[in-house]
Amino acid sequence: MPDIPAAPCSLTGLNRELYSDVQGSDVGAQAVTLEEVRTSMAGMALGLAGVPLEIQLLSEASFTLANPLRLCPSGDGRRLFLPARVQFFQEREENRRLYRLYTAFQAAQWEGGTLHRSGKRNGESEPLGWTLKFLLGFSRPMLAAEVFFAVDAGRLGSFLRKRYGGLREELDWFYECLFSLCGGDFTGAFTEAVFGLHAVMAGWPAPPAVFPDAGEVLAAARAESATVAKPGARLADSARVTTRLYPLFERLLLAGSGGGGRYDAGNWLDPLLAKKQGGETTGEPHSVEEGGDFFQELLGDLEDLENLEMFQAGEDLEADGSFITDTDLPKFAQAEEEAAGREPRRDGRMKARTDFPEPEGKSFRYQEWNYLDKRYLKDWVRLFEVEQGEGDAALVDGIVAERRELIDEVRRQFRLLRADSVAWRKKLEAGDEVDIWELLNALVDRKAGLYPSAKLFMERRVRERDICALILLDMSASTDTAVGGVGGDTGDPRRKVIDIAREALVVMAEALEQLGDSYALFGFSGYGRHNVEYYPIKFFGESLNTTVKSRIASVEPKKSTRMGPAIRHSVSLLERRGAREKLLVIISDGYPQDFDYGDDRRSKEYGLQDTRAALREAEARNIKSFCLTIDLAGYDYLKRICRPSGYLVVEDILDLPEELPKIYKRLRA
Amino acid sequence: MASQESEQRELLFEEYFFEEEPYYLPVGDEVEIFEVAWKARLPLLFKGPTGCGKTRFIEYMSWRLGRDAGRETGMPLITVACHEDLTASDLVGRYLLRGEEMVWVDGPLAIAVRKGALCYLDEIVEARKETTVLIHPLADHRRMLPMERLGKVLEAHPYFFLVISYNPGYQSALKDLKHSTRQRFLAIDFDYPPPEREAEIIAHESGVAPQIAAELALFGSKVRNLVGHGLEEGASTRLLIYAGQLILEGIDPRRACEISVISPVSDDASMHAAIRDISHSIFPSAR
Ligand SMILES: Nc1ncnc2c1ncn2[C@@H]1O[C@H](COP(=O)(O)OP(=O)(O)OP(=O)(O)O)[C@@H](O)[C@H]1O
Ligand SMILES: [Mg+2]
Repeated sequence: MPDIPAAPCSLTGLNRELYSDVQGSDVGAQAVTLEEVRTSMAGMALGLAGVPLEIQLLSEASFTLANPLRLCPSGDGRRLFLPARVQFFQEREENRRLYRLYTAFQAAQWEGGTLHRSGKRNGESEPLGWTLKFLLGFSRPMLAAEVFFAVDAGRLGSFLRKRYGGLREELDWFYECLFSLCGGDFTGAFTEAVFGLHAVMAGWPAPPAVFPDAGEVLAAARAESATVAKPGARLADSARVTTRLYPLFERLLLAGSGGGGRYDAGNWLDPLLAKKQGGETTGEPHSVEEGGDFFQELLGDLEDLENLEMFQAGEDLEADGSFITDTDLPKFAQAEEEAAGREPRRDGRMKARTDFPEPEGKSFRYQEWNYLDKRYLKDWVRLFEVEQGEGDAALVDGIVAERRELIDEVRRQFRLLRADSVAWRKKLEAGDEVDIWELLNALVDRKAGLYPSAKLFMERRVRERDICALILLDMSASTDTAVGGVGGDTGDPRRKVIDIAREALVVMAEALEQLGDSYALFGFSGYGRHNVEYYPIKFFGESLNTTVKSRIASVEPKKSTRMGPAIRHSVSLLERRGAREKLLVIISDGYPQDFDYGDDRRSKEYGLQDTRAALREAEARNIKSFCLTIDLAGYDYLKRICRPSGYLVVEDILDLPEELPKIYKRLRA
Repeated sequence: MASQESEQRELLFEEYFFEEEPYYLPVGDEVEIFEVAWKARLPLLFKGPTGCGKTRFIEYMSWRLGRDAGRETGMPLITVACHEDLTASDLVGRYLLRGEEMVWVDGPLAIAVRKGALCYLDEIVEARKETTVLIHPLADHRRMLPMERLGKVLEAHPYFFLVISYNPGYQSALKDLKHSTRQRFLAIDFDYPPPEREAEIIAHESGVAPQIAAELALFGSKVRNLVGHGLEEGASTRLLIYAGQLILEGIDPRRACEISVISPVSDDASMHAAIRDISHSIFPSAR
């Protein structure tokens, strides 16, 4: 982010604070941090927008979406940009209010229709698709973006004021407060005009202009503001106004730079000058490639965007909806296929590695849930059953010897489970035995002149605990993390997450053998949607023989964690079993993730939503599932994807071998 | 609470009907469907989340059908809330000791079948499987109720009509309806009404001004967006009406939401904070 000249108590001073992510030092008592408000802002955004947004630091937003020239940032329909900390205002309540307003504005992009004209980009839906295409129609797209996002934010501001009584108060405070702040600290006419544009569009009277040129532009803007302030104003209205105001802002900007910095000091407006000519970019003085990270990504994908219809003045734009319909999806899916192995498109996205050999073994296709489009992608994922290598079975015997005490304890508890499986069914009208308590109640009722209940009998039913359980182990690369010494005393620094998981499997298997429940052990990992790998460790029919032990011995960290298909495959295996009760226990060490698990590698939401969908599918098939994780962040996300009693975060990984049997006991109850 | 002097009545099952039209605002084509089903005597299954108007709908329909059946009032409506210990004889009837004599007393289902009434089995999945199968012969072309204890079968009165309900949302899969049961019913899916309708319902039921009703409906629809993201079930129309009633009594809207929606729908503090942020967006602070 460029260095912004700022007076401490000014609008730019505020923005400077918000756009920096410095941690620590001089935090006032009035400060509110992102961590404090993270979950409630995520919830508020989801509530207002109806779409989950992933919170990201404001300082990480691309210039096109959010920069210190703005009154407030814009989002891209996937991410919610919020500052790391706000302590600018005197009161905590006011600092928190700023978070709420930023959240409201970005959520309103969905509710107010900015994101409803999506397009498809490389087969993925791009909520801002239409807008980006529109902006790329200008000779200086970055400048157009500056004008557009200010106009549209103004439109959303008046939308919010009309619709939300509570936000109305807060918005009024926001505008009033910001204007009282900005007395005279504009670095030039252009900055003043851009700041003012948003407020003017929202119908707010801006204070008299400091720079006369800015005053002229804002007066022209005011004349247009009715278009976006009217009830029901849409994206197209913002676009229309942008088209009209763009030349004025271009002139203002050029006057500033052309005149040797007469108005706007510093070079941080330079990116806005970036120019594009007829689909090609030129380098005078800055090309879009250099200037705009966001557009830069886009230019590579321009061909897809080219398919979008282009906005033309006077064209009827009222209709909502995407330009590319779902029926086009197979085509994109194919394109995706062909593009496998291509270069990264954006920094967060990993290059699809091709050096993994295609796995051998039986393969299966599974659907995947795309929460953004709210639909299943049919046969999207290919899962291979890959033979698990064989290690040294003696390793397992070693674990058995080492954990003898724990295994005996678990076995003892599991024996009690067997006794449990005899149950009394009560309140029957006929049965094997009289229930003494019911009888007593009936007698009392009769004495009291009430009708006694006739349900006096009970029956001993050996509950046929016809159970089969599948334990699914996440064998992703992250299980390579060392755990030694974390707990202090058990300090073997060479022990890794996977080793503890192996121990847990051994303890569990030993105990289950004796309990007699049918069980299977599988691991999963893989890389990319065409290569999900599923490793059989122990099939249902197998006993805990030497081969199985050698497979347990060889579990090792592999690649990614695409959880959805692994769950779906487990479900299909469980479904084939005749048992009455089916359990699925998933042991993982972090977020479900894979390089192409969703459009944006940095976004965890897609993977979470797909996992959640897979768990629901399991449930619909009568399979009880349970997620056990050693990831402390699990508290945040498991709550959202599992049923309330369907997950557990094991805070100390070393407890895993003890926790797993406990969970099993609970599940079975 | 200042309660009005109201005359308390005890009614026999078959005397429970509506004399006046219950308020019901149709959301889709459910009224039409119900009438067609009724004409063909095809039993109905209502599916939908809690507090979305299922009970109110059947009350309304019972009133409406009364005229079809040539009555001045509504059809009698017999509602049974199902639970785990509900046995066959709870529905069909039993012998009771009266003095020296054993007398047979019909259960609610038998009454409906004999006298011709709408019978509404609420939350049917809660009942044990062996109880549920009892309604099978009633719910197909046979329309009869076997009364084992009496060694008889009871043929259904022409006006007998069976409706069952369940909430698929929080049903554990283990408690699902058997296919042999569910495939005897036509199913109507209920959901919370769209905001404008819901606002109308809230205004009518609670008496709040249309503006506040609209805000409550907006609030409800926003809270429902959180379902599946840490919230098991969204705010029901019923809760929004409660909030309206509190507001009407002078409670600050934000506070009313707190008591009637935020706290009832979840026990999770971070969920509370999120919903509170939504309510504070919609309702201005008290002045
Ligand atoms: N369409 C509607 N028309 C009129 N009132 C409605 C409507 N929908 C909901 N209501 C109101 O909502 C309240 C709750 O509805 P009702 O009791 O019928 O819910 P339900 O679906 O039976 O819930 P449950 O599953 O918890 O029994 C009603 O008392 C009524 O005031
Ligand atoms: Mg009800």
